[in-house]
Amino acid sequence: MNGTICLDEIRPWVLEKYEQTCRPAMSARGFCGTQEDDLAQMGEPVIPLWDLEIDGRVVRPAVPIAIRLRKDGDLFFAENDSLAVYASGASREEAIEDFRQTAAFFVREFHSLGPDQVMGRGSRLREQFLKVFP
Amino acid sequence: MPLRKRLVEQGLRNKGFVVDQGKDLKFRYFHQGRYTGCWTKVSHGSDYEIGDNLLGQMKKQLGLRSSREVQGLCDCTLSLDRYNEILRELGHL
Repeated sequence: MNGTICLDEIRPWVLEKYEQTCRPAMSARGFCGTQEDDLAQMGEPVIPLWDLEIDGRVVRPAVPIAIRLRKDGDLFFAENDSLAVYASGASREEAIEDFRQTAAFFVREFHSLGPDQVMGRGSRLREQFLKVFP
Repeated sequence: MPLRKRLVEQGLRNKGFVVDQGKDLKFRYFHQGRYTGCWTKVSHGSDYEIGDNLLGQMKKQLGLRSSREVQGLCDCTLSLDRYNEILRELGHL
């Protein structure tokens, strides 16, 4: 699997695998924003995000973004702690789409902010976003 | 304990969160003019109830430790000074 595969192409496969096993559908090693051991312990599926659409342009991250997907009550949650991107939706697809839009918002945001315009967690997130989306 | 969307919106506006009008209403927290990386969002439209599951996610977005603190931030039982203290304790400021 390489960076040329888009999420839409592999999504059915990932979701099918998850349905069959209820285990992470693929290795998260090398992805941004996750510790594989932690995820394995939690037994939550990880879906890779290979690209984002930002202002009509397709932008590829330096490394795939790991989306941790879980269900709680009537909602699905798509999250990445390293980037502090937390999204939700009524279905898995909606949650992932919300994740894409939220991540795109913060890519724009952190590219527009200088180092003296952020602090604390904001500084760490800016550094992380600029590294993953140079 | 569920929270009303309108209360979240009013509470965060009162706390000085910067509001972005997009697909959702995004609230971003700036301290001394600098972005802290703490944020949350609610949907546009009429008032609705935010359940415990979504409050749990808002806790992470806002850099807090519990849903109770999210509730306090929105209903003003948790002051802005106390919010800043919590963010400092957790290394977010």
